[in-house]
Amino acid sequence: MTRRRLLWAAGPLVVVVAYLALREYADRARSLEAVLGLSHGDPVVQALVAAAVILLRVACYVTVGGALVAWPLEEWLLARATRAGEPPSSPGARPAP
Amino acid sequence: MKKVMDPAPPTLTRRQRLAVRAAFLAGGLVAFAVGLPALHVDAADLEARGGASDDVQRRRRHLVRRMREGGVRPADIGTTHELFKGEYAFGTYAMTGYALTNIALDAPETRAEALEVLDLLLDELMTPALAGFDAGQWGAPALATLDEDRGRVAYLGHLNLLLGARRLLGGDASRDDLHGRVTATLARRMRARPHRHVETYPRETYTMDNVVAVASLEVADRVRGTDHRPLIDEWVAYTRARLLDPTTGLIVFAVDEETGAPRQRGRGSAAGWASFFLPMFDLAFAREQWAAARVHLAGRLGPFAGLREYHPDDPNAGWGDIDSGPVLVWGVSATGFAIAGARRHGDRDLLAGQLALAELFGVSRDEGDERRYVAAPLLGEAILLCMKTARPWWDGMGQRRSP
Repeated sequence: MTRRRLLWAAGPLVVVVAYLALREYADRARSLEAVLGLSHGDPVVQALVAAAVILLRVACYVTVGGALVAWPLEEWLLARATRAGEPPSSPGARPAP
Repeated sequence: MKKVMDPAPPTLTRRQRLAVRAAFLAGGLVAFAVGLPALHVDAADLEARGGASDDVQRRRRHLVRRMREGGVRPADIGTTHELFKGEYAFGTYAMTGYALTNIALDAPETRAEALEVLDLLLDELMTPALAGFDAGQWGAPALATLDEDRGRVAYLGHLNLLLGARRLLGGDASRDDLHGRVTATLARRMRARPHRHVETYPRETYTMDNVVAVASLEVADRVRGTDHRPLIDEWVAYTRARLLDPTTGLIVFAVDEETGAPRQRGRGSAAGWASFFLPMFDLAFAREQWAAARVHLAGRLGPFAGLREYHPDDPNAGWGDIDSGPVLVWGVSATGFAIAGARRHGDRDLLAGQLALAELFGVSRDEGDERRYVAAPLLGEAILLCMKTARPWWDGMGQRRSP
């Protein structure tokens, strides 16, 4: 697998894992409750945690959805460029446009 | 031996790279806007089955377990203000009770458990720990001073509504004496004021606490055979005549105890709150209030919808207070409470948007046969469950008219 393909596959995976891990932490720390004054904790730190969980969740959807559309498009464009650069496969074959 | 050179890997042109980035962005936004509501929000099931829907049943199990395990105590709450500690804890119990009542009416198999938990909630609400927020403001426990003619409308209103809900679900007569005494106290205190609004705390009179008390009178009439309709009509008449915000037509937030004049303007958190309690005793007025909230406060952004806390012309607009929660144009309380309005008035589009927003900021998580919002406190969990399951408690509720 090329580095390019690894990035497409691993990028969304990293974001999803980070989201799940931070959600777990926020759940245990009752982050938003602390922000709202409904449980004990440092409200500033917990506000950042709560905001990060929500943003990471949005990022999960964006990176996974984006990769699902953009990766195949990039593969298709590269395949087309490769085909365009190849020599004719047989005498008399028409060159790629 | 002749060395064979690999051809250079193909590369994309600048225009193609831009196309890939645009596709990434478009795919990501579509996945977010469509995927999040589609995967986590089932507005159609909620609309069709209400309290019997899968989402509601999972959240009900979580809430019931948490309340049985001890619920929430004022001391558990991190805010430094003692009054708000008590209010938050008290609100958690009250909202849980209303949610379980709604659900039991949609899913009769939960009725026995709802009754059991309602008794638990009522017992807790009468303990010094949970009644203390009110007693602290007035200097004595509410239930020890029922003969007096002033105040405590928030504590007594919720207690009375829960007593009525318990009886409505088929609870026995063991609390009838208390129910009768609290009902009579609230009615007497309302009649003692020309504006029919009772103080929550000394010199503090809030319309939305009174809405709960009036709803509790309507439910008491239903289950006990009393008749408070003339008093309810007087309360509505005064509110319509003197307490509507001239800009929005919404019920104002507070009332001057001496003069009965409006204090503050109509606000989203109050409009949302009213959308749950007002239909209990005056469905026509509730429809008017909901229409006003819809026109002046409701908004939409992609798949998400919310309710503003303040009208743009409101000079008191800010980042919110203890009642509104955080306000970023839309208010947390306003949007959450108004889920009841969207359900009661069949506002499908708004309901789906509100549920999507609740999911965005709440972050649902399943554990076993339970579901909960990771980013919501137990109070938020109870409020959302209550508002999602809003429904009439009997056929024709709120449609009664004086001759």
